[in-house]
Amino acid sequence: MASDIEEVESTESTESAESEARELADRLGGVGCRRKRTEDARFIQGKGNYVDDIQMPGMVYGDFVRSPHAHARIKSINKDKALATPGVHAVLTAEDLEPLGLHWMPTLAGDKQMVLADGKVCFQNQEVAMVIADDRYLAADATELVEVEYEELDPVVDPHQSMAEGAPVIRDDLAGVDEGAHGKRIHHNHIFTWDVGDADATDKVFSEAAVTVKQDMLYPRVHPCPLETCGCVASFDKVKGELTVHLTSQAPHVVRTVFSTLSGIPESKVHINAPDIGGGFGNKVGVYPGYVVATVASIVLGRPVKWIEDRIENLSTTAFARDYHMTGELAATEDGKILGLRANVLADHGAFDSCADPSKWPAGFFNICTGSYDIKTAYARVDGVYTNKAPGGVAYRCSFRVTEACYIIERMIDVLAEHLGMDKAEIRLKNFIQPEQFPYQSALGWEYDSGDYPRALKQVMEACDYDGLRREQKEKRERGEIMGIGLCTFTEIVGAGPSRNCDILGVGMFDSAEIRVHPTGSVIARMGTKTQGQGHETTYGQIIATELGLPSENIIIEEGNTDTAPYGLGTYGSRSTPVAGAATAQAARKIRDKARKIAAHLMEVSEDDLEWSGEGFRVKGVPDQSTDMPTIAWAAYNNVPEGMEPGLEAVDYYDPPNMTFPFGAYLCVVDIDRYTGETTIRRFYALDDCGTRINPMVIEGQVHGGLCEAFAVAMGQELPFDGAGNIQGASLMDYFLPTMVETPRWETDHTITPSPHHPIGAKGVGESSHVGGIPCFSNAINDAMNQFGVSHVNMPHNAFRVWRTLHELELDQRPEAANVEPYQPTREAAPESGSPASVQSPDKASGKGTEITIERNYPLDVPADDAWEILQDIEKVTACMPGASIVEQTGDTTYVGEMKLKVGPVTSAFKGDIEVLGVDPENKELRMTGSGGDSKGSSSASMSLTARIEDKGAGRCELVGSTRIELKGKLASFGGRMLENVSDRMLQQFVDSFRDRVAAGGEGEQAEEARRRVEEGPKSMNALAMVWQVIKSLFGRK
Amino acid sequence: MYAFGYHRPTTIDEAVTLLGQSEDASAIAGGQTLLQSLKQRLAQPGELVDLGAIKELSGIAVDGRTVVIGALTKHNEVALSSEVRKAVPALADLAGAIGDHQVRNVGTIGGSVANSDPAADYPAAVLGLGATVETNQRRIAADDFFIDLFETALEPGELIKAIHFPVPKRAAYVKFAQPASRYALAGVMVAETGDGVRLAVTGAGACAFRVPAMEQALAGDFSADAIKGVQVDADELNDDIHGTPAYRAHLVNVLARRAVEAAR
Ligand SMILES: Cc1cc2nc3c(=O)[nH]c(=O)nc-3n(C[C@H](O)[C@H](O)[C@H](O)COP(=O)(O)OP(=O)(O)OC[C@H]3O[C@@H](n4cnc5c(N)ncnc54)[C@H](O)[C@@H]3O)c2cc1C
Repeated sequence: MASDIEEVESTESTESAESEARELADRLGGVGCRRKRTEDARFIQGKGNYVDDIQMPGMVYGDFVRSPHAHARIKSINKDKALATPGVHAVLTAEDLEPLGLHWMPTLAGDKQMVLADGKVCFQNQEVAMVIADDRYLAADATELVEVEYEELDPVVDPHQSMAEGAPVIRDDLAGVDEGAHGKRIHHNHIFTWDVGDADATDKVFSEAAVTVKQDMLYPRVHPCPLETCGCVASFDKVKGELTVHLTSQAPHVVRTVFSTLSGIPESKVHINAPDIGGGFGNKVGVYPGYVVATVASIVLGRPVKWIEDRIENLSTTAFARDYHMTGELAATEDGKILGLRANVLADHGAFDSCADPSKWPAGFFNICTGSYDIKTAYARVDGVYTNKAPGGVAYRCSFRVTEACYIIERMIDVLAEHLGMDKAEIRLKNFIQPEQFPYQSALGWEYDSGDYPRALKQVMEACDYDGLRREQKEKRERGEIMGIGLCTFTEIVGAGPSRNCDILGVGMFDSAEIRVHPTGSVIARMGTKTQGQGHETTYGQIIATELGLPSENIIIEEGNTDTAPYGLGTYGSRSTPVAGAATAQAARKIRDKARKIAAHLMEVSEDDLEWSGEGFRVKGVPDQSTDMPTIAWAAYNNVPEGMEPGLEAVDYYDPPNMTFPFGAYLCVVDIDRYTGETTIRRFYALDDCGTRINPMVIEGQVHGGLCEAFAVAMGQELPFDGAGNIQGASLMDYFLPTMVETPRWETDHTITPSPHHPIGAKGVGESSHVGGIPCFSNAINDAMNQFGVSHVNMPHNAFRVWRTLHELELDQRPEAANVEPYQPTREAAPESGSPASVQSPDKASGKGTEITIERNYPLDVPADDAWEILQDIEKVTACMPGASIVEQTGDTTYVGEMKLKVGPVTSAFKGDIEVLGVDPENKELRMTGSGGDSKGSSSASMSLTARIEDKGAGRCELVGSTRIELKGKLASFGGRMLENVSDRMLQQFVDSFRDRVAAGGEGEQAEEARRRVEEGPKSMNALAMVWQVIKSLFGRK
Repeated sequence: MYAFGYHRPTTIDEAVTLLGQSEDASAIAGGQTLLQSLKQRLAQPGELVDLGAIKELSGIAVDGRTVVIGALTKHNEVALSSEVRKAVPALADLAGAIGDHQVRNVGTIGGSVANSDPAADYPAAVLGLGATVETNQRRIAADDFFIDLFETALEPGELIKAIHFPVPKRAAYVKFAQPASRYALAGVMVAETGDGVRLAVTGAGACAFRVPAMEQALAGDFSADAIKGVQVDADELNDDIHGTPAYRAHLVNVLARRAVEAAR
């Protein structure tokens, strides 16, 4: 009895202590309060200061000449015309950078990368030269005057073909290098093989298991697409020998070290400043050629140089994400207990390995792929290969490859459930790591710090009435309606990282904070991280407010200026709170320790008699004998104890003892329109556990943002390539960026399981919802498809692809209630485990190149000999082509030709070589080839043509034409899909003109009419919309 | 963007003269297509003739049987006009589904129709409602106006002054947006007019086109079921990363039925 009463009392007293703490947090703007973001005042008033806002006296502008080809040798570069243009200051090529050793640069992944094309180009839109001019328009004009002669090479587009025998060599520079940064290279296009876990034990588990499942899945190439593209302003002071670079960087300090090492300028004379950043999501971690060339240009010219990319440049050349071709396998018991996992990945890294992972982790933290489940035996292997695509492989809003890992395990667990006919929640609950197992040692090497997975999932199931949803799904299905329920119970690994296993270019991945308390009790603090929208200025202030008992409104947070901020590794991988946030708390605690000494001195008591009151110190047991922090701060500058240094500041460099492991349970309900394939996200419920919640509102904002990007990736984003390596869809006309119109409504929830090793128990949260959201959407769509016997469809789940699946199942037709056979799980044994070569993903990143072959017969009302006479005359033939002409004859059978196209508002002029390969009077056949580029150097085309006159008797004949046209570059990327339509119409016009020409040789009214038309020349190409997609791509809303 | 000359005439005659003075002059209305082409350096007009100050090109007039919309009228003016909404709700709906507010506040009906983007919405209305395009030289029936990809009956230097839409008995426009651009992946305008049923498709082919087989089926029985089995030929339809010709052909049928159901 008595003990019961006591317990009630103690609960009451904790409650009152809690409410007191909440009240204090609200008053100070400390940890736990929903404080409005301090940075928003300037952003919503348009007063942010981004790199492109920076103007400097004498500033000039750089713009790139880029390659239209995915793979080609550079035969020559002629800058004369560009340099002769008034207002142009310089044209830099690899040759100019070579003496400085800057034509190549090291990548974070231990590879190296061309800064400007050195002898060859390895991906479309690769940087070939930079023009520096008085303004950006002049610079852009002059890029078109730089003449680059290419010799095309076969490209490697499909990563599955990359290591084939005889595959083209992408990296000539690596000839004979069989030891890469991450071990042996087994093929000239192989980068690394990285594996982890016990392969033999895993094989054994699989061979003995009652049940195994295997599934190929493609995580397509996507791009973070931040609203602000990348750019910089580089300014070299010749007198002082100092370099200042303002740039869009998530990690300015590392950039300083890299710049100093590359340039040889002492690091103290390199000043890097990352001002406001309009979103990074991993895209702004790396060092891009633009930064380097602008810097060299500034050193050469002694003037500030600005370089800012446009949207298409950003999407097509700066770091992409994912492109993981994965095969997952699970071994389990009949009743769904997972015994083993095997994962095989083929990773497409593009032409250079410029992934931004900690140095020792070529596949990032992919080994978190055992997820939230207690899987005792596992093996994962990743093979990285080169292809002729832009380099990258950054973590798009996730910690190093964690999205891919989370996707594979969360999809596989559903695949297994489906195979067993088991409920997808039940299988998770059955396999979760249990709360009492923490700290948990995973089979692939991690020590999970804390978690309570069953509680999280159960809370979500209850909130959403999971059982009710399943019942509804069943009823709907009987009515022919398609509904899917997706679950995802993810565990993330963030906060890189302990310096014992995490470094970037040899620098340990600690982070830092420096806090100064001014005499009047206001504070300035600086960190080694860099906010890009995460709200650091708000949340770090809250940590300090609580640790120091000072109001956050008087705490200024600064980041990004490497002269003032302490060295840190930057913001990505949700590491700011786990690492710099910890440093902030630790630095504040150092200040508090000193404050305690000052307080003891002021109150003339012993330090041991003092306790922290939340806003200062009070004497234990004598609550009204206290002093607050402003008083102590003042004393720090004029009344310190004997022997103590004045001042009140501290620095902390925090090397985390472990990563943090935030987790969550998500549920998504989708309704699919079977006729159009459109998906409605009816409900999305996200429960996140990121430990201590510093600012619930900022967390919710981060969760909303991450879910929006998860929605984007799962439902629509993709950067495909054609077979020639032309990137398709690198503009916002094709690349899906959801707005508030498309974005579903989010419901958020949380549990709190503090990290035991973080000073305030916080874990990272900026990326959780992206990592967990994507598989949740995908699981929902796949859950809907499971009903019809489909075990897996790849992302993106846009309406077209969903329809395609439904169409194959003949579900897209009326009547409404189709009689759908109930799905019977098939229980085939899984095939042999995959070596990377056997990893075949259903959607390969290929398809044919942007080329077409057209064969047509055109009847002509003239005798065959008349027609042949004209067909032999190259000049006349050319004149029949709308907009085409022969400029000069360069040999017996070679000519230089020109062709102008005007398509709606778009104009382009092609110039190139034409060669007549054969004139065969016997068969009346002409064979010729042509190849050339547009005058802007952004596209190229080649064509071969065979034309034959067939005598049909009675003064009639037929023109039999067959032509093959191939496009590269901008036109191929944006207009290639209309090639057939346009080519057809061009041929038709050609034939019309040709007829006229032949007819003009005759007599009478018709001939007269034909002569008049020949005189006029072929109808202008005004209406021919060679590139209507280009026009629309133009909406590239920057 | 290349350098160009800029003119802002106040009368149509002045505009036509300016356009005739140089070979590579281009009219600009809302600029929602042209400006993007300029920014990407795909268009290089020597002179831009801004139609924005020509007052007589703007405005909406409804006389009971016809809705006349000036070429320079913005999409949002049409979408938010209570007169248009009363006379031809389908037309107001269509205008309101173009792009986003920023685009609708600047883009014009004349620019959209003159441009004849295969995925633009207005061409479906012009063709589906049997409108007449009035230019500074003549009147062109919708059936003669759209010729091919970005190709219309307009001659060089010919400017659209207004579009005359006859008020239909009932009509509806149903659009299926391409997810990234939000232009029409396919869109169908169906109308029961004084001259019978008209059904026009945009987004699916090289330019807006009518579907006679559906029109005939609907003439006898204006119901979704009447066109259940009427498919358009996928062969001629557009193919891109957002949808195959087969998908577009399928969508045309689905959207047409939905449009018939929604017609009012
Ligand atoms: C982000 C974005 C989204 C969009 N989404 C859609 C959409 O969903 N659906 C849709 O239909 N459209 C969409 N558009 C296009 C928009 O509707 C444009 O308004 C339209 O394409 C062109 O109109 P404009 O007034 O801007 O013409 P401009 O760009 O100024 O001109 C276009 C062409 O028409 C010519 N022209 C202009 N006026 C006349 C005239 N009176 N007579 C003769 N020629 C003329 C010009 O010379 C030029 O060649 C979108 C545009 C953007 C930027």
